[in-house]
Amino acid sequence: MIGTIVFWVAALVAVAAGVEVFRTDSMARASYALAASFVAVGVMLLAFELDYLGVIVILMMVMEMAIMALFMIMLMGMNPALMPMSMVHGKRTATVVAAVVFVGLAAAALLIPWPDRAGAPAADLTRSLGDAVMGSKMLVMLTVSPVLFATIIGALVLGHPRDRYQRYGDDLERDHPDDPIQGGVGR
Amino acid sequence: MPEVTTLQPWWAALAPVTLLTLAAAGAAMAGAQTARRRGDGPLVAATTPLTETWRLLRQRRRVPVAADRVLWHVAVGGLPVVAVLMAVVVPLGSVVLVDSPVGVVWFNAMDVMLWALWWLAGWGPNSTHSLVAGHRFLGLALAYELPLMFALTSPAIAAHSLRLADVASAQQGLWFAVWMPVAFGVYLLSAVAFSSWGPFAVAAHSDLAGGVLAETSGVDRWLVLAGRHLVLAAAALVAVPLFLGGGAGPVLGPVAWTLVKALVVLAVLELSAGRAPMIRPERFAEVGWMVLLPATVLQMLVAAGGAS
Amino acid sequence: MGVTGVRRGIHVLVVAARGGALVRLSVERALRTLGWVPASSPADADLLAVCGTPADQERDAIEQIWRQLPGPRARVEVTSTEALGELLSQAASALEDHELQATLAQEADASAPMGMDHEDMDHAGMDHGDMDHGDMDHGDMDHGDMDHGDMSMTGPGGIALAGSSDDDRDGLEMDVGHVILGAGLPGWPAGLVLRATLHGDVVTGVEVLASPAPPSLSDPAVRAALLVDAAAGVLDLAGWSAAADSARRARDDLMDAAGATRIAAADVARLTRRVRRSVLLRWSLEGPGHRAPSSPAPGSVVRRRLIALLEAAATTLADPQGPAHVPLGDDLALLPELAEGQELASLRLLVASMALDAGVAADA
Repeated sequence: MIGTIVFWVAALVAVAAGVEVFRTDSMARASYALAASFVAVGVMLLAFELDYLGVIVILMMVMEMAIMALFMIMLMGMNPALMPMSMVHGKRTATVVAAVVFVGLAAAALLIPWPDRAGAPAADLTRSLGDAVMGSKMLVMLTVSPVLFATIIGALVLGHPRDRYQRYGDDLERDHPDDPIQGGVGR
Repeated sequence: MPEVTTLQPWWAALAPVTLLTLAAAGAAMAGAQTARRRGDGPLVAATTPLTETWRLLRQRRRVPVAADRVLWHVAVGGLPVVAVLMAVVVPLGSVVLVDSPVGVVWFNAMDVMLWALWWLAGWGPNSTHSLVAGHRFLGLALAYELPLMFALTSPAIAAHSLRLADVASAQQGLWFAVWMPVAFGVYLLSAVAFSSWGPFAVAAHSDLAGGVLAETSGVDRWLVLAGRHLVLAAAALVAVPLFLGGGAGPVLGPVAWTLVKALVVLAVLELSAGRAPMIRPERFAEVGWMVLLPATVLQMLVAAGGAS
Repeated sequence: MGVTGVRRGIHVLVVAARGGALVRLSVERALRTLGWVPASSPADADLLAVCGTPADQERDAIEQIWRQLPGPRARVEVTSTEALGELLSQAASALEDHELQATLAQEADASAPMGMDHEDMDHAGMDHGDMDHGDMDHGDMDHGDMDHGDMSMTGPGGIALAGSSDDDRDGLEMDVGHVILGAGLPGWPAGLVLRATLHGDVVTGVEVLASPAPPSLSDPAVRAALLVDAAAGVLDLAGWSAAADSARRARDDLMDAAGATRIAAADVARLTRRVRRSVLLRWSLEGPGHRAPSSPAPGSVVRRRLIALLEAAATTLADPQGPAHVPLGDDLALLPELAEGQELASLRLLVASMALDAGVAADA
């Protein structure tokens, strides 16, 4: 009973916050409306008793949106990034695409004859999730995570305006880097 | 699996009261230290939280021009709420409000909430100093968060569980604080950092005219200041099952032991204020990533080795 | 220690007018005996204490600060140390005067917030309110007429938006702002007004709009007190409030005159050793220390000056007849160069370490 109420309230909040992302005219509000939407999704997962996934969604999304808000404000390459501005672009195309996708997904959800549940959920869902990730899907995980990590590092190296030659000299001759503001270890 | 009874939901009303009492004790300790340094008597010191509460609740609330009131209120009101949410998963003796099977991760998620709240507290008032302080907090957060995550993982690995009651009962022989000193140290350090307190008070410091507090007055200011002590108190409570053997101890009951241990941890956290110069994010970033992160990973390996 | 009948814990924003540094010391000392607390910003303050006699331009800034006190609020202007206790206790009772506070509250409501002229950015004085990022208020402000193609430099609320610059360190285009730094900031020298150009939180330019008037001092104890006070300011901004409080206690002892000087001298010597030995302070200000010589290290300048201030105080106390040996010279001209590329908070440390209240330039 309580679970059902929590689910529906969270679902409504998730949709309403999602709508707010596009209705608001401020970068900060758009970012945090999106965070709120994701937190509501996390709460829905918790209502399904998927404790680990629910909490992780909340954790990751709040962290991500806190950083994304900075990037939204930093990288809007125009002065009025902090002025009230519309969060919607290409309105007509976007509306059509959104409508088609929604109708398609909703129709699929309602019309596909889903099979009845065959097994029962595991007693400890967190453990079975861990078994799946670290067991049969281990190879995928071991491939995907280094690739993702390498992508992040690569993007940083390419994107950063100061390279190691600026920090350590043309022949990398300095023992310690020459930074505008020095770090705490000196590497 | 240790027996822990989940309390009926209406007991939840007691959680904020209990945490507020603990936080008031913490605030009194910090106030006493400040007052002693200034040369005031002990009586004044102990009543500092009360006089400050009285002062701020009477103060009018001033809102700067073009402030983002909604996000500002979320930040200000969010601090106490997050602190209470942090604490509800802590088992108090044989009872607990929310017996979350992933209590450790829950705590982690709540401390990440503070990223958003401190930044929003800086963004809301539309003031340069506040905004710089909010950004500066995120710089610090990026440095402490990953070491903290690994520090939280170590006890969970050793206990084979993410449930705080299990972690507490896994320390029958030896407290995790003893054989995981690196993890415990990083935990304490991060607790001070995510509360923006003591040497890590980067979000609210005089070098930025009070930072996120530069424009905050009246009940808003009270909520931020109290929220900070509440977060410290919650972090101290969580440390007990995580590193200090939960309610285990002679003579006194488990509830009393939990509270006593929490008070000791809280004293350590609160009394860090003013003792050392501020640890600036630009310096700490390298320490976090190049020293603490490898150290906590090694700690995790030790924990895994000790557990198997 | 308390005075009976007067409330404790009142937060006081101490603002020193040009030449009001000495009065500020007496006021801060009085605050400590009353158990009152220095405020970090106008929003934190119950009481505004103006030290010295402000010039016309400073009056505008002080009015602006006064408007930022949330209330209940009171203000005192202290021009001499006589009858200081009485002034302060009057102010404390003004805070409890409900009729007066109701009038002040009405005044505040009438003048805020739209009536305030925030486009005028060149008022001397600290401004916490009106800064560089434009609009955030969506609830109660009509911006129907502002489509987002409008590139005007003034955002809602009449606030100047951040401008743009090509030579930004991080290559971003939108974050050049200007901040006036002046009276009302904690530990700020009396009479100094700076205009800082900020790229985000990085200082790219500093312009001195008004410089302080250094007091001419004959009493060596007072001179030492001002030096120790400056050191306390630096320590406070560096976050080491335990050391800052010891410095302030020594300063107050020096201001007490009669007999306490020798004790204070010992305290200053002890504090100097403590500051010089602190590894964490050195690391916090300078970093790990092995810096390439090509670039200046403002943090080490701050630390060197901090120690020099304490040593100068000790020398002054040891040899009252000797010249005030303060090795800092005419520093204000160096500030823009040192501050460039540093963070806003580091600029504050640099300014504090110049000890402008201690009249360094007059003695040099």
